[in-house]
This record gives sequence, C-alpha cells and structure tokens, in this order.
Amino acid sequence: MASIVLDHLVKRYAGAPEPAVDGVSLAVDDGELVILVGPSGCGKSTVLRMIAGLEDITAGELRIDGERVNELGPRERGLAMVFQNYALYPHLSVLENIAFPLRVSGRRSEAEIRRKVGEVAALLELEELLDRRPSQLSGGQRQRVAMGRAIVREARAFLLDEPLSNLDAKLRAQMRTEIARLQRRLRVTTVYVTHDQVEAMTLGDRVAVLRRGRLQQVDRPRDLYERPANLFVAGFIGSPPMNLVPATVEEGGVVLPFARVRLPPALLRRAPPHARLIAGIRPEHLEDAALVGGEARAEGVVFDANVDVTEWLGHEQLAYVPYDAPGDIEAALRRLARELAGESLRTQLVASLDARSAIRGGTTAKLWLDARRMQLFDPDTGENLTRDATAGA
Amino acid sequence: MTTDHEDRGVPGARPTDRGRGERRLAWWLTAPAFGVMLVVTAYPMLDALWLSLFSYRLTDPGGREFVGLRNYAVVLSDALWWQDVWTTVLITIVTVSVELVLGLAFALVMHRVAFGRRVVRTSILVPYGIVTVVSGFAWRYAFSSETGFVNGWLGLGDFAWFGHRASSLLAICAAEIWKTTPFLSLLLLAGLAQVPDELGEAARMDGASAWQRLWRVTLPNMRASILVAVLFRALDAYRVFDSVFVMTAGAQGTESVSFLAYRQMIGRTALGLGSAVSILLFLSVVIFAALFLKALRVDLVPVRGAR
Amino acid sequence: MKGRGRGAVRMLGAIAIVAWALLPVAWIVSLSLKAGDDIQNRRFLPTVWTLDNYRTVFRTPLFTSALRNSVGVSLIATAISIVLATFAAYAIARLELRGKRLVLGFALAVATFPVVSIVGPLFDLWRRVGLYDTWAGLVLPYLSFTLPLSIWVLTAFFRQLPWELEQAAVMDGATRWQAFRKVMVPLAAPGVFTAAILTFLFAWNDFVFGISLTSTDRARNVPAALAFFTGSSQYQHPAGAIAAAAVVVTVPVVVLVVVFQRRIVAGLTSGAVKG
Repeated sequence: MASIVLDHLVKRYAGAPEPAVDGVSLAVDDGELVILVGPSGCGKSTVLRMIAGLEDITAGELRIDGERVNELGPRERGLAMVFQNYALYPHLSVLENIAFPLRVSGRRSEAEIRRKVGEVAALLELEELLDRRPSQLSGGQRQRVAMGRAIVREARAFLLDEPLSNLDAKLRAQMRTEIARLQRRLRVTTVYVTHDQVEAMTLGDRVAVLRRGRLQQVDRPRDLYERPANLFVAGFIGSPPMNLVPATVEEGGVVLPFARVRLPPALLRRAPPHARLIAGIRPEHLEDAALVGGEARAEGVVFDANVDVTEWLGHEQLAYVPYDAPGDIEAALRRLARELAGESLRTQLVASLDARSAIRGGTTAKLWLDARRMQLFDPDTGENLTRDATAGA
Repeated sequence: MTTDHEDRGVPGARPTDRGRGERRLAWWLTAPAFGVMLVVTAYPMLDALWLSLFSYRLTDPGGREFVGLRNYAVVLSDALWWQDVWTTVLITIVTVSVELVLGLAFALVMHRVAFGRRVVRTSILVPYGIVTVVSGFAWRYAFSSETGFVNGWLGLGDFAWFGHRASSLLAICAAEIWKTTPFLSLLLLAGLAQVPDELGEAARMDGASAWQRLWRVTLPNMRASILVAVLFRALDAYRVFDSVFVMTAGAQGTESVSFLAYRQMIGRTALGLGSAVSILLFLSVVIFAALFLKALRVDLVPVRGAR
Repeated sequence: MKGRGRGAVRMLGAIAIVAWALLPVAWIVSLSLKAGDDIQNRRFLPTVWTLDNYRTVFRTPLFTSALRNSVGVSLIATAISIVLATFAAYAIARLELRGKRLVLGFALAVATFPVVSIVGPLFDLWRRVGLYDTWAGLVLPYLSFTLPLSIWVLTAFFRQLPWELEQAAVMDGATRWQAFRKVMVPLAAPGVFTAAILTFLFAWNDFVFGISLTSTDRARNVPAALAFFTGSSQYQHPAGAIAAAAVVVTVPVVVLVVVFQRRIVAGLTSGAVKG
C-alpha cells in the first residue's frame, strides 16, 4: 500500500501547441480511491499512464511513498493496471492469465503460484472459469479476470482505466458496487479514470475533475456537487446537468429571463451592480409551485413558465422550459455546452418535478425556484461567486 | 466460411429470382479465371500423369511404349533421386529457418521504427521484386573465386565456393535467403501489427521484460501468421529452381528436385521419366502441405495476409 | 530513459536492413560498370568506371528482343489476368456462389504448384498446338499462375469496401451500372492497381516457362535470355554484359517498388500494415 503524489505533472507531445497535461498536482493517500473524471480528451488517461510509467513525464515529479519514480519503468514501480479493454492474453487460460505476473517474476514456486491464483479466484468467484479462454467469457467475467491479474501481484496501488465503459448499463451498475466493495476490503490505494460522472460520484473517496489537461477541483463528491468551484465543474457534475441561466445584477438581486431573485447581502457584496452573471440552478431545485408548502414557498420565487415538453420517469418528472437569452451570454454558454456535452443545447430550463405533479407539456404552469440553493458564476472566469462568499460562513 | 450475406443490390426483384440470378452471374464471373487455371494446370498435370506411364523420348516418338509404373520404380530406386530430395529438403530447412528468424527480426524493427519507415519498406521490396535470375547471377558472381568479393571480404583467398557441395549449397541458400526474407518479414509484420498494443502494455505492467514479452505474449499471438508464412515459404523453397540453374546448373550435388525434373524433360527430352519425376514432385508438395495443415490445425482460407 | 536507447537500436536495425537489402543490387550495378578484365579484380567496386557493358548489351539483338518480349508478354498477361481476377474476386466477395471455398482453395493449390511439373507436358502440348515459342504460349501459363495471387488480394480488398455506397447511389437515383461505374470503380481502383503490380512483377520474373517454352528471340524473355548470354566476344567474360542486362531488367522493378511501395505492402499484407 502506498501514497501517490503528483507534483505539477506536465505532458507535452511533440508538435502539439498545448500540453496534454498541464501542471496537475494531486495527492492520493494510502488506501484512498481517487477518481479522475472529465470529458474525453481532458488528459485523464494520460495522467494515469504517466503514473503507470507507460508515458514519459515531461516535467514535474511523481512520488510513490515519498520516492521519486519518474525514471523508473512500469516494472519497477510496483503498480497494477486494469485496462479499458482488459488486455487479457487471448492465448492463455484464465488461470494462466492471472498467474502471468507471478510466472514472469520468476521468483515464485509453482505451488505458491497455484495457491495465490486460487485465493484470488475465490475472492472474485472465478473458480469455475479457470480453464476457459478469454474468448469464452462474458464481459463481466473478463473484467473480473483483469482485476484478478492486478490483485494477484499485491501491488502497491491499482490503476483502473475506464474499467466499466465496455459493459452494458445494468452490468455496469452491478460491477460498480463490486469494485467499491473490493477496494474497501483490500484497502488498496486506487486511482480510477472514468468519463462517467455517475461512477465518479458513487465510487470515489475524492474526485478530481480535469479539463483540457488542467485540474479544476479535487474534493469529496458531495462537495463537488454542492459547491462546484467553477462553471465547468458545475455543468459537468450532476445528471441531468445544472441549468446555467444568464443573470443580471440589479437592486438587491438578480434578474433572470423568467424571474427576479433576491440575494443575501454576503453574495451581493461579491456581485458588482449591473454585472452580467450566470446563475446555476439544479433541476431538483425547481418544483411544481402547487406542491410547495407555505413556509418553503417564501424562501423561493414563484414564476410562470411555458412548459414545452415533459418526461415522466416514474420517480420524477422532467419538465423542459425554453427561454430567450441575451446574445453574448448565450455564446459563452454554447461554448461551455459543447465542451460538456458535445452539442449545443437549446436555452431551456430542465426542472425535476415531483412525480405527482400534474403539469403537462404545452401548457403554462407555476414553478417554484429554491433561491437558497442558487449559485452565481462569473461568466468570464467561470468562478463560483457563491462558493467563495459562503466559504467563510 | 458461409456465403456472404451482405448488400444485395437493388431492391425490387423477387428473392428467389435474385438468388438464382446472382448465382448464375457469380458462376459466369468466376468461370473464366477458374477455367484458365484449370486448363493450364490440370490438363498438363493429367497429361504428365499419362505420359509417366510410358517410356517416351521425344527424340524417338515411335519408340513410345506403355510401361505402367516402371518409370516410378526407376526413379524411386535411383540414388540420384534421393540425393536430390535430400538436397532440396536441406535447402528448404536451412532457408526457412534462417528466414524465419531474420524475418521476425526485420518485422520487429519495421514495426516500431519511426523515421525512415518508407525507406526501409521500399528497400526490402527490392529483393522481393528483383528477377530471381538476376539475384542468382549477382550472388554467383559475388561468390565466384574469379570475380567475387566474398572471398576478399572474408579473407578466404582463392576458395572455390562452387567447387564443393557444401559451399555451393551455402551460396545457393544465401541467394534464396536474401531474396525471400523480405516477403516473409512482411507477412510477419502483418501478423505483428494485429497483436493489440495493449497486450504488450499489460505485460509491461505485469512486470515482464522485453524478451519475456516477445516469447510469452507477442509470438504466441502471432501463431497463425507464423504458420501460414512458414508453410508458404517452405512450399516455395521446396520448388527452388532458378537459383540452382543459374548458380551451379545442378553441379556438385546441388541439384534440386525441380531441376531434376527439368533436366529430364527438357534437357534429355525423356518425357516418360521426366513426367514421373514431375508427378512425384507434385505429390511430395501436396503431401507435405497436407501434413503441415493437419498437424498444426491451421485454417487457411479465412486467414488474412496469406499469399 | 530506456525508450531512447531502444530507439537507437531500432535505427541501427533499420540501417542494417536497408544495407542488407541493397548490397547485392549495388554489387550487380558495380559489376556492370566494370570493363573487360576488371571483372576479375575481385573487389566490390570497379577500378575504372565504364558504360561499355551497357553499350554491348543494347547492341545485342538477343537482349533487345528479349526485352521487347518481356515487356509485351508481361503487360498482356497482367491486363488479362487482372480482368479475370477482378470478375472472380467480385463474385467471391460479393455474390452468393456455391463452392466459394472450393474456388479459393483451388486458387491456393495452384499457387503452391511446382511449376516444373507441368513444363514438360506443356512443352509437348504447345508444340502440337503451335503455341511453342510464341507470346501466347507464355501468356497462358502466366495467367494461370498469377490468378491465385490476384484473386486473393482482390477478394480481401473487395470485402473491405463499403458496398452500401452502391445502394445509396441507387437510392439517389442512379442505375445499377452508373452506381457501379461512378462509385465502386474508383473505390476499387487502388486494390486492382495493387494486384496489377504484383502480377506484373511475377510475369516479369518468370524463368521456368521462359526457358522451356521458347527457343528463339521470337518469344524468349529476359531472364531466359540472360542464361544464354555470352557477351560481345568469346574472349570476354560475359559477366559484365550479363550484369548490365540484369541492371536494365531491374530498373522497372525498382521504379515500381519505389513509387508503389505502400500499395504493394498493403496488398501483400491484406491491408493489415498501413502507410
């Protein structure tokens, strides 16, 4: 078991204008599971491969248990990796696949090898499959064999590169809990890369969000969700994503395209008058006004909304409310949307209503916005103004 | 391999009509090629089979008489036949083994080299494309004690390479190896390229050294390519002719089976005996191929990259 | 880091490969540039450079006619072979054909055929039919032995083409023939080209048929002619002249290989190895 420290790691590819990884610093404690998450191309896999030793480190230092390992090859670092496509040896049986690292080290006797493989197979419930070839296994089984190969080495840390992305949705959910259970049981330091923010939120002790090679925020999942450091993190974490709405500061509050909201003094101090900001409202902070009781109602704002489409999902109902946005903010929002989701979103509000709501698409309805939970962002820097303001509180 | 049920073309025709029409079209399209191959190989082969049953010299057509399998008996009991078979087998084994190792080394280099990739690939195609006879002459003159530089470079003075059996064979093997290693290395490169990079990386993470990676991961996953390459090269090597003709004309016991057949047929116009040798040559190739495929369970038809 | 060391070793390996591949070629060029007695200087390079051998060679009708024969026969055989192979490969890759495996297997068998075995009967047959010592007499066997390779290469190639484009063209209003001509033919061209190159190289290279099925300069091709070369006079070692002739016959090969390297490699490896 070991701690891993990334100290201003940089990765530059020849001929590329921007570095793929730009000064990422991260400290992973012994036994911790840290997740690297971000949209494709953000550099998360590159960071993982640098830790593994499969990519050279251009600048910065990588320390495992306090020692610098930049110059060491993968063999010497004592780390184990599970690849996205599992990289199982197709010509070997499951038993031989798991035994491979032990055989290759040449330092274990045949009896010892069999014993260790047996232990790992028992742990992962692979005993029945030991004689099969990878081509005869299902996706989930292959994944377990890949994990088995990593575990058998008793490595100092595990590196997992999108291990669940090749499984179908149902299996993914199952394996997620398996991995969590396993990691807790073995208490191995783990660095886990994924593009799926649901995985990130459910599995990690801490989550590091990356964007274009730079670290945006490292925090516990809850903190990422409730107090995102900037626009990118706010838009990336959460599904359905946070609504990002243009807001103009005016007289003790902000004006949104569909409502006016009063702001607490602490927040007002950080917001210059007449400034154009972006307000962040999570879908669950909007509700059918008819279902909101008296006291709570006062804490928020009720407004009329043109509900375009609704989707009833059983445990909730999503309502889509289009609105008009001023040009410049819209451009900034569209850029952001492209980075996060890969397509331009329409300017519309997504509200997550109680399933009992009677609101239907194509009507006008009264919605309630929980103003206490609203966040404000600076559109140019992306900073979360609300977070800073309440930090001291 | 099942029939390819891919795009069928214009919708509209009734399925059964289309199927039948397609089959007919397919037949018409392949028939010419099939026909040519059949005529030029099957017919002479059958003719050779027929002729081998006769004692027949072209210079004496009247003296043609049916002798049944006697020609075969004559050939199979002739020491020269067996010596030639042995020579040919020797050449095959030596050249294929060396080419396999060299070819693999070349493939490994070509797989990863960054600069000059085009130059390397282009240059190895030169031995492949060069006329075998030209290669034969080049090597003959290189090894020749009169004109060659090999003696000079190896400090061997006046050694007559073509004066002894072993050294002649060595020279022939050198020529063959030079010419055909590139082709083999390309086949191996194709096989190498199909081994996913990830396996190598996983092996690195698992702590395997470069040598261990090669032996335990890369080569086992190239098995099909290697076997196909070896099979084709071996069959090719067994049929060695051009180099022998040009370099030694079969002297010093370097005659190959193909050369023997030629000599009998064309040189001595002993069509009967020559045909028998030809048939035996053909049979030995077929038997070898069949044994090889059977023993190693290689499925040729769907394999890519085969010649 | 270790990576850099490995890179250097590979560079050395690459250089070694290139040197190894081109050494005999350099040698034969050098031989061709050696004058008369210099041939026996036993050294790699000539002491005096001369083009005499080339002059001799081009004045020898044996050679010039052989060159003409080689070019003619190779081109004709290539053209016909490609047409036939394309049809067959199209059928195998695209249409329902019973006994597909049989055809491909047969092609494979032909490719491994010991050519010498049929030379005798063919010699006999050609004499009877009047094809002995003619261009046609060579073209036919060439066809037979180049078809397997071409069919293999083309079948593999055709299988990878996006045939749904043909359907899309038809949906867009083109006739089947138009779709084929305007969409599929350009797509298929590279593969056909590659097969043509490989076929040409085979025909150009042939020796066995050349020496068995010809007897005069009416049809004898260059490799066969080389074997009968004697040089400009009886006293001269023919090596120089042969070397010059060899170089001349190698030039087209080198040109083809240099210009079409990528295609050839792709064809031989069924596309597994790219650029």
